[in-house]
Amino acid sequence: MKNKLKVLRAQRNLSQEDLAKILSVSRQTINAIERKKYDPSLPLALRIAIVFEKKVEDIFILDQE
Amino acid sequence: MKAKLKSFSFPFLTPVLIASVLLLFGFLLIPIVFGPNFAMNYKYIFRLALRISTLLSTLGFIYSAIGYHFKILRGDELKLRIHFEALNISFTTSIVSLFIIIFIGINFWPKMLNWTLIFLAVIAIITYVISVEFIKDKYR
Repeated sequence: MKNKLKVLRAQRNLSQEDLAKILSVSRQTINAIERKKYDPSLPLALRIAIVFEKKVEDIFILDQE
Repeated sequence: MKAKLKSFSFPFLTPVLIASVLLLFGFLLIPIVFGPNFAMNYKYIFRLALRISTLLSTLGFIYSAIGYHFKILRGDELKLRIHFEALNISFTTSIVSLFIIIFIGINFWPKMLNWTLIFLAVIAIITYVISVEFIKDKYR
């Protein structure tokens, strides 16, 4: 699954650590999502969407699309 | 009960775990603390002390196991994923090892079957620790 997390984070001048604190997860989780090594759970994906004020499908895109 | 356990903070987990490991080896610690002849001179007290230390150790291990379990469940989701994947590998390895131990035990070395549980516990713990490191690398 592709995602635009790194771009969105950069647009808002947030570090991985900052975003991790906002989402109450570890920095390693944010890093793994950005590097496409780990797909977040649905609740975490929804929380990410709320933080960036976007729809989940605007941030996370299936590879086949 | 489960809700209470989920909200309980499980303080002093690591010190309890370390103390449990030390108390498990009471038969080694007591001669060091009270002298090498203590076990021979005070057999009853020595046995009682051993029972108390192993009981405290068991309680400590149960507390640590439940504590770490709920701590991981409440914590970061990537760590939970790593924990589950490591448990999966550890469980599979233990089952395979059990069949191997039973085969060897029945055919060649029946006395070894007395140690089956200890072998399995050691195999499970070692595989869990090693697989956590490998899985961490996968998500790095």
